[in-house]
Amino acid sequence: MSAFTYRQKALAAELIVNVAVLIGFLLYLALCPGSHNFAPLFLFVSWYFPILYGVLKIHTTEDTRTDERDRDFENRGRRDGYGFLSFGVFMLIWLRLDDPISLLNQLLVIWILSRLVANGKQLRLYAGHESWLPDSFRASLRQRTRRRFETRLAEVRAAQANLGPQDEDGKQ
Amino acid sequence: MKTLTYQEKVLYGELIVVIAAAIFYVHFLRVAPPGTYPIKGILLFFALLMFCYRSFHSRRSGDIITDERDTMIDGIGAQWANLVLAIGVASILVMFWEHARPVSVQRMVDHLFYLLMLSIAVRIVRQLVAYRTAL
Repeated sequence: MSAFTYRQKALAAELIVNVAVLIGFLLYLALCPGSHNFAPLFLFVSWYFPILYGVLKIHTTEDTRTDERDRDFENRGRRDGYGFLSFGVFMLIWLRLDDPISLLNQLLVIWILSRLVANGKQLRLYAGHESWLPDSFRASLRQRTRRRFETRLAEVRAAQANLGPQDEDGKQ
Repeated sequence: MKTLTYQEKVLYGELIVVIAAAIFYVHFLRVAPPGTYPIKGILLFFALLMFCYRSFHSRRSGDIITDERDTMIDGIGAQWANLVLAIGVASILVMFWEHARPVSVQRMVDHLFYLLMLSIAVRIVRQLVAYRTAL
């Protein structure tokens, strides 16, 4: 943990809090069925914790500056989170649940899960991996793509090479 | 039109699909009685069309290359869309939970549908702007 940078520590803390919020909300649902007046509290904690963490660490001696790499990782994490959230919302529209309370509960669970996906992706990128997929699988995909491009390039070059001598013959 | 890149053409196509889906939903599906329209089929069709077209086309042709700038622009668009969708979902949750007993599922589904379309439109427009400006 001491080898973590400031960004990694913040992301890990956010991930842990979101997991705790998710577990707390599911327990709350299990213990108190029916209408939930305290449900927005979970949303509030999940939303404002990163801001609170930044405020509490305002006098830290760690390097809190962000560079291109941090912004790139943040964008990639949010892209995955957005993909998960939009897919979840689409599935809720698709399923069209009859109970509005159930729909709201599932919407909050999807919202928290999307934040977990975004945090997890960023932590995985900081750990040196390329994506959620195993690195060996990504390498094999890249190799396959490169092979396809090389095949196409070889075809183009072969076509050009076949045209070349004919043109020269024509000139002779 | 000739100055547009492949990525921009795809984005314009997606934007037209989003607008068509929203208009179709508002004019035909929303006013129809529940259970009398193929909402699931329509939504699935548009979703599959939008999310699968780009990857399918790029894999099929095999000569479409994306670089670091495309990835960065994709991330910027997703960041804006994520912000819109997250704030919208949080607003819907707080707004409906404030009443303790939401009015109807249809109203919530309407809000979610408009929000999803809005976030997709924001992503596309932001990417189109980013393609024409310096990053």
